[in-house]
Amino acid sequence: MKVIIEIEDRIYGEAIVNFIATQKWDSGTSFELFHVLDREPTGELISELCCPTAADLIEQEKTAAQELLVEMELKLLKVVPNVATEQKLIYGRPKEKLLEVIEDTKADLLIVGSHGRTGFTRFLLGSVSMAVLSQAPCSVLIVKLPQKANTNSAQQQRTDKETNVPVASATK
Amino acid sequence: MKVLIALDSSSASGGIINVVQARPWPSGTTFCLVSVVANTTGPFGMNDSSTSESASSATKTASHYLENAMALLKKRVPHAKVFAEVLQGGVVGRIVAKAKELHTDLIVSGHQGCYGLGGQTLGVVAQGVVQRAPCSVAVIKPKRMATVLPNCAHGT
Repeated sequence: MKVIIEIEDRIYGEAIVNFIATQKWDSGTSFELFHVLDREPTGELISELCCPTAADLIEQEKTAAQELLVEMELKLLKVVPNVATEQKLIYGRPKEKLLEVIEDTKADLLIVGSHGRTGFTRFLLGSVSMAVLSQAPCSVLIVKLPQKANTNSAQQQRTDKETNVPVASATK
Repeated sequence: MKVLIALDSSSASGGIINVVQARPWPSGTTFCLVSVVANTTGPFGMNDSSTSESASSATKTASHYLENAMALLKKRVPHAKVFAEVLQGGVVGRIVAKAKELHTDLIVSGHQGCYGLGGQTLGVVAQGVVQRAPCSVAVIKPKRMATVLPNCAHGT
């Protein structure tokens, strides 16, 4: 089974790794970690900017992204040691690039973080995540940050007239 | 680990069960299978015998489907605890409320289901669940099922 993981930042990267740790994975599973930078640090771009500070910032962004990928790959290998892993930094528009990666690698599963961490934005899925979820040819796992326990009860009281009909219940 | 699996009676739901049963699950996993029968009302919000019959019939169909799905899952994932429940009300709201009530770690949903719009469009229910879920959500798509499940790609 081939699994693609989009690592966008450290917070969601760790949430994804933690979620993966709660699952069982066959030894034949391979994980590929990707980070998409939406601008490529080409010489042309840097010379257009004519600004050494900007070039430095682009280089720093690239270095930070590479370090993040390595860090997450190591964390992943710690929780699922018997699987194959790879990581890659790619450039372009995140939605298009992720869909390309899925096609190229024939992935079976894409794992992405949901976005929006607190308050109202917690209920919103990022536009890239939603577009990829809608268009990806493979199954998609959206990992959310763990909720604070005390937010549950307050927000639960929405809704509809409820009637539950137990079908049956059984263990083993 | 607690997993809530949202099913309807469509063939896509058979695909979801196939994907779930083919995965290795950690010991102590509990599966809660739910199917939501949407509220039905007659003209001007009135209920007559035909609407209540229709609701009753839908509940029976959902209940029967869940019994079969539960039996299959118990057989294929024998170490897991499995139970099922038919819910009534708004589909997304009831799935999300159940996930909150059970403190589930994962919701498994289909891509389209009977409430979806077809084609490549993400179903309304899947979209709503992803947006409002308190936990992570796996949206199962059929296209690569053959890759994941070489021996059972065509339904239950």
